Order: sequence, then structure tokens, then C-alpha cells
Amino acid sequence: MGMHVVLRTPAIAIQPRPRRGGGRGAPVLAMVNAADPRPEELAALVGAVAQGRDRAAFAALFRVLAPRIKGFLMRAGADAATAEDLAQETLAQLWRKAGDFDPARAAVGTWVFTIARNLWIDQHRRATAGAAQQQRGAWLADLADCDAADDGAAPLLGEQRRERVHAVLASLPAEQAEAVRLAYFSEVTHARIAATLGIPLGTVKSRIRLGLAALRQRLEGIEL
Amino acid sequence: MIQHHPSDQHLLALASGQLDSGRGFVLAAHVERCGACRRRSREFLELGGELLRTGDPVSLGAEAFAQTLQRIEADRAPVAAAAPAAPPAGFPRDALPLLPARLLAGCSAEPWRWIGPGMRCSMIGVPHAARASVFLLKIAPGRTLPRHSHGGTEFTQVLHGAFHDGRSRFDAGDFDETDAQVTHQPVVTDEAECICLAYLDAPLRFEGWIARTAARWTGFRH
Repeated sequence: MGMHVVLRTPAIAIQPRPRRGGGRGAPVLAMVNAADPRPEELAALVGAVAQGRDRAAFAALFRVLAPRIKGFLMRAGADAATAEDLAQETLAQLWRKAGDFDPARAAVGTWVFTIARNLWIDQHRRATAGAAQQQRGAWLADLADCDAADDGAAPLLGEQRRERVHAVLASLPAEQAEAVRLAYFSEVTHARIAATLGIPLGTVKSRIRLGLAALRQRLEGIEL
Repeated sequence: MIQHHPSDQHLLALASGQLDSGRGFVLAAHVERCGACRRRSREFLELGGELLRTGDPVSLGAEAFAQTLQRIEADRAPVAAAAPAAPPAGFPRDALPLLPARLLAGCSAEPWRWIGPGMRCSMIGVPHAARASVFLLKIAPGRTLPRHSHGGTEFTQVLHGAFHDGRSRFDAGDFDETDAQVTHQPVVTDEAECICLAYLDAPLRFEGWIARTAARWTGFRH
């Protein structure tokens, strides 16, 4: 196996195209289903970006992830222009930091979620700078800040962890799963949902509490 | 053994970036010390990632991909490694080792200040948090705090010693959250002084005129 030297030049356009069909991980690309991106496909694409600065892999990740980041941030309270800007910046950071991604530690979704969230906190601070309102904190900036190294159990791979929360969410009754989703979204989104369903905002909030309680019960039931 | 933990709702808000910096700081001081809450926080990051991956997409502008490539082109300069954080200024010496070093970057504090018999306080400047909302409190063994209710939310992380307040006993590592419904009178246990990290988003309401007068001096209002 030859030594693989990764040039750290960030410019995509001047990168030589990676040799196709040769090394591991190269040909996963482009066929990724944008409607339902498979987690393992996403991980392979990030690996191709990290190892080969693979433009086609990056384009595929962009096509799949950027619209989902934008949608997520809009439900979390960002306006469309801000959400689009942050989605672009998240993908730019994905290109820059692809070498840091470790599939043993986290699923791609989890990793991208923390990047987008940190950018959203920064943006929120810039937008509220000088205003009297309290600003948001990024005290769990990184996955490493919540590694539970002392719990004695064998660590799960990122993909196994993702499957676990996915299975738990899927096992909840639809209304409770929806309530858990809402916990990630803004008051504005809550108010819109309350108006759509014709229920008071307080009812939405108590549904969120009940949804989280049900989630907790099931998470405790599936051992790490 | 930590008995009192933050609610899932607050851990989720911290993990998803919705929580303000002052409350986040006190919550993170608990999470740092509590394996169970680190695991729960991680689950909320994993769940956030899964909701992002499976959520409804919203189309980007036609030029979005080209614009993103331009962003990548634009930063050819190597990114300088972040300078190591300066040690925080002014922290009371006995409290400093009780706080997670990771959280202290960019924070400032004042030396202990007398606020009443057996009671000392140190305001902490937390980046991006409202002024005078986060503070350290040191209470002598056996001391009873004035009975009070809360104008808003109070987060308390016990760093050292223990207190009980009629509802429960809170030991080092425990987290307590009270709101406007709770009126309590914390009593520090006899064994040791009690040092707590606390967040307040509204002044405490003390019962009795002596306590109210003391409150005016304490800085527990902003």
C-alpha cells in the first residue's frame, strides 16, 4: 500500500481529480439517493472528500445535505436567507474539516448537526450583538464535550449510536415522535403548529414534555 | 452519587444551541461532572443529527453550490490554531479547582465579597451571558439562607459541601432548578461550607425586611 499524501490545498477547482476505481472508497459517489440518503453512503462520501479531496463526492454531499440543513435551520427559527447562508457555510466547513470526521465516533448527521448548530449560535450572536437580550451559549461545542468515558460500557460506533436513536424515535407513537421533533424547533414553529392544529401553545409545550418523557423511557430500555 | 439532574428539556436545549449562555454555563458545569448527563446530551446530539438527515429539505438558490465553492476558494490562508485560553482572572482560589477548566476560558470573576453573616458571593462574567446573572456563592457550615422565592428561573450546581431545603438534600455534583413556584430556605449541612455555582434571570424575592435590605446589597438583581 502506497503512502497517501493529502495536499491541504483548499481550492477545489485546482485539485487533480482523484483516480477513479483505484483506491478504497472512490466509487461510492453520485448515485446517493437524495430523497433518502443512507448513513453509510454519507460516511463513505465524507471519507472520499477527506482522503482524495473528491469533488464529485462533495457535490453529492452538498446535494443531499445542504437542503436538509436549510430546512432544519428554518424550523429552528432562522429566516430563509440566513438558513441558506448557514447551510452553505456548513458545507464549506465540511470540506475543510472532513479529515477530522471519525465514523467510529459519530454518524455524519450528528457531526454536521454540531457544525450547523455552532454556526447558528455564532450567527445569532452577531445578529443580537449590542442588544440587551441574552445570547446563546455553545458550551457543548463538540461531541467530545459529552463523551461519557466513565460509564464502563464498551463504546458504540457512531453508526450504532445513530441506529439506536433512530430505532427509539421510530418506536414512538407518531404524535410523540412529532413532539420530540418539535423540541428542536423554535417557538415560532411551535406557534405555527398550534395554530394549524387549533390547540393552545401551552398544549404543544406539554406534548413536548410528554414526548421527551416517552423518549427517555425507551432510551433507558435500550442499553448502550 | 449524583441524585439531582437537569431536565431533558434543558439538556436538549443546550445540545441544540437554543439555551442562553448564562444558563448553559451552569448546566454545562453539571454535565462536565455527570457521566449520565454527558450520555443524555450526546443522545440529543445524535437525535438532532438524525432529525437533520431525515427532515424535509428546502431547496437552495440556483447559485448555492457555486457560491459554496467560492467560499472554499476564498480561504486559502492557513487557519491559525486557536491560542491557548488565558487562565481566568480574579477567580476565588478555593472555587477555581471546583470548576471545569474547559468552561473557564474567557470568563472573569471577582474575589469573594461579604454579603451577610457567613455568606460570600463572587459574580462571574460569562461570555455572551447577561451581566450579573451567574455567580458563585459560599455559605458557612450550618448557616441558613433567608427564605426566598424566585422571580424567574434559578439554576444551582453544588460544587462543594451540601445543603437541604425541605424538599431534598443537595450534595456536591447535584443540580437544582427552581422557578417562580418554589419558595425555599436552604440550610447548609454542618460538615462543611457549601460552594455553589448559580444562575438567576430575575431577582430573588426575600421574605422579611432584613432579608430584603440585605438583598439590595448582594447584587442578586440586575
